[in-house]
Amino acid sequence: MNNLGAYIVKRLATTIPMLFVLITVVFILLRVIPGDPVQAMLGGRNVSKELIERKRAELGFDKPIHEQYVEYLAGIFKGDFGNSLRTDKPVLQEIFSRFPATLELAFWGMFIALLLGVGTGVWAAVKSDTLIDHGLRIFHIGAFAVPIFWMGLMFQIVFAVYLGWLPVGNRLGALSMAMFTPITKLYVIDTIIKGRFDLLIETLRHLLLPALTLGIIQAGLLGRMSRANMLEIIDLDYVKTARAKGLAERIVVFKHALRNAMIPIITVLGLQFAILMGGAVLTETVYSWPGVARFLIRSVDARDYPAIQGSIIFIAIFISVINLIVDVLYAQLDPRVRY
Amino acid sequence: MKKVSVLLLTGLLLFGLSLVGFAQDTDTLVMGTTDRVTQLSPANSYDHYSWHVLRMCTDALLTIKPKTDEVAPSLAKDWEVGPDAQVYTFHLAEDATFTDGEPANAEAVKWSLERALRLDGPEGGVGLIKMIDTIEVLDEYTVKITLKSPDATFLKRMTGQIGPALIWSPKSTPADEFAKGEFAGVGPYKLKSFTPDQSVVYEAYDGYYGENAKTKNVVELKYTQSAQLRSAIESGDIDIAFRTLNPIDIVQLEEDPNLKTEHAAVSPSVRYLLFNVTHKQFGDERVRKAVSHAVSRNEIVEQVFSGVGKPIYTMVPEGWAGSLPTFPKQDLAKAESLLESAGYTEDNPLEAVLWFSPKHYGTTEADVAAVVQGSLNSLSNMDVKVKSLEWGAYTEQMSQGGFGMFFLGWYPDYLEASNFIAPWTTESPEGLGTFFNHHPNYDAYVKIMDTAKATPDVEKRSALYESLQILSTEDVMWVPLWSNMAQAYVVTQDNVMNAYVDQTMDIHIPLIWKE
Repeated sequence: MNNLGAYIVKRLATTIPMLFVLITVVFILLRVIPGDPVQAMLGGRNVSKELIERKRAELGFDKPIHEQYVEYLAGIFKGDFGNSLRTDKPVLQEIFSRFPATLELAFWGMFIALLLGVGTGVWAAVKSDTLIDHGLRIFHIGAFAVPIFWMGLMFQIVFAVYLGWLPVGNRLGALSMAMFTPITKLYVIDTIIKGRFDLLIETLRHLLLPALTLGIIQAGLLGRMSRANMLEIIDLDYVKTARAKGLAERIVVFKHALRNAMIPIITVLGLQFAILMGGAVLTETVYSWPGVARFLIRSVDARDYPAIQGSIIFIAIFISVINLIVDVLYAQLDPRVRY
Repeated sequence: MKKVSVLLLTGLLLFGLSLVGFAQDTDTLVMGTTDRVTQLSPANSYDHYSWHVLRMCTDALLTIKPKTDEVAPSLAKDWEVGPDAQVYTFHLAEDATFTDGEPANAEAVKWSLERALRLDGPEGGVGLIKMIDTIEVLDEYTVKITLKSPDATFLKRMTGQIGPALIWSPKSTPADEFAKGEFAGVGPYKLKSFTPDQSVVYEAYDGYYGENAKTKNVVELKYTQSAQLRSAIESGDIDIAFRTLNPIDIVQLEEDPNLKTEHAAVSPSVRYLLFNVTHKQFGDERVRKAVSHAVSRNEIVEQVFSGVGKPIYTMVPEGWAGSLPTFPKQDLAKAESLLESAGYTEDNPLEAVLWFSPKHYGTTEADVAAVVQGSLNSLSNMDVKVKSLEWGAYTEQMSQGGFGMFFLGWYPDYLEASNFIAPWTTESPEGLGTFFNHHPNYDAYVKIMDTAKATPDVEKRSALYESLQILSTEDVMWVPLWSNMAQAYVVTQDNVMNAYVDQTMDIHIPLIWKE
């Protein structure tokens, strides 16, 4: 096994105890807080106590917590995360059916964050201490400080209601949703594969506001980081040498300075993804985006234990994998890093 | 840099050019809602929207005549009721077929109802038809249902309002497990697709035995929040916004010249305070009466719901057979004197807790609690604190007798006054937290309710319900507060015709069309 392979195996191995702790904490926390899923499901209705007890027994919630825990762990080892109490379908099936929506939103959110954050950060650094720099710095702070749900609602009111340019929410329009059968459920890819460019445009129209909402928050932080890194690098000797050699400013900035300035940014991208998933919870709610984060919120409301546990574990694994990929990429970008 | 900028601008321009709304055709009706489907299983679901979806796909033996609370023919073209209200005979339409081509005959009716009774899902509402004892097929289009005991409300329970009463094809519906969307019905629409938390898509059923649906395709979209539902109707993304817009949004949308707003005259979605009649403080009838004199319903409706609601003085919705407003209007002096008679003074005020659940009934609950707290604390001899619990914990505490005074809401299972009296008194007094089965007058309620059940004559039955409402004003296990009108509103685009909400609190989609 080469160094890279060994590194990946080592990283994966360290993930397992983290997941075990996470599963245990989530499992216990859900059960020690007051109220239970059966009451959330049947309480307040004209039903007998016997029926509530029957349902509790049927779901195994009448057993001691340690027995439930052992059964749950045994299920996980067999790949069985249980059935959602709300939908009565396997939790993994529910998560996988929604994951493409979250992935697509997260990808485009990150794309916008990088484009906007790095772009404005570099611009601010190049125009350091000018009016443009001050304006962009205000934008970076503002973007990071504005609550995501508020920004989402404002975008909806301005672009969907007043201007009528973009839809309010969902992944496709009602008619298209009814007629279109996706393949991968990544709609941008699916519409291209099927040659449905009308639906591709519709998909992008639906994607724009949620992705922008998610991306702008990240762009604030990335912008500040990019500006600071660029300012440091722009003053380094090798950049001055490049300028002295008479290279065009564009080449100095983008080819020589930016490449090195990007290295610390790449390192935080993995962590940014965790923040992105947190943002997705709000973005998916505001835009009725049918992803995993919205599924998690609904499950929390309904005290759907298996769905909450499954979603959290899935998101944790997803973030771990993204961090691993980022770390591997980091080493590729920076030759000084060795596994 | 310039090239990149030009490319970016061109891209944005091209993208901007594509920002043109996709017009919806008149063959497709798009409804937006914040309601969600729990399960598409007639024997294991029990909520308004799941039953709405099921009702789109099939019929029951009977229906509620639009804009009334009267029973009308549906799959059964006529029926006979035995003199003791225990035997019911239904004569079926002879031209009805399920969407899978099977005849919707007496055998199918028997199979369908027996299936629901057999499966009896714990999350379902099969309890509403459990009084059925036997179902006999008299001939291909005649079915006789005998009840375990007389029940004059049975016809209302055989309408499409009740999920387990809906009729399904034996050929295409699983016999021994919950359907979860796998079924063939006899309704005006066929279920084309259902994506949880996203959409329900229907297509009109050409072979429907009744009047064909006015619009061929219907798409119902789920929105997470009321604010989005408002934005969607304002932006033209949807044709109809139904259940549930925020009250303040309704008030503002009513002013929009591009939209039409309709609402039911009466909303049977009622909100009220409940008391645990065995509680150490609220076990005293004088204390409960004091609260009933102290609350200001108008303040709740105006301050919290912007006028989109109606104060109510009985649990039974206004205009329904047997409805009698009996509860007093606000009288603070009377409330104070009642508390005084119970031993509470300015120096020794009644210190009590008012419980609510912050999200289950929408985001307004804390505001309602604050208004009621304000009314009660305006009494010199009462000091109320407000506490909340998340729904699962709330109902658990409630059913364990942990609350003395608390909020709850009710939505009718069937359109009969008994459904607004029995649950908290004779049917589930402990589950719903009143513990009224420990009250000295409990037996009287049971007796009157049993008599009403065995009384087919509507007027006589109504008189019995009225007597119970008079009694409840004396026993005060509840204080009716307001009816929730926000759920009774439908907002549509200008070109949507015949969209209205009636006593069923639903809109009749098969009767709606676009011009």
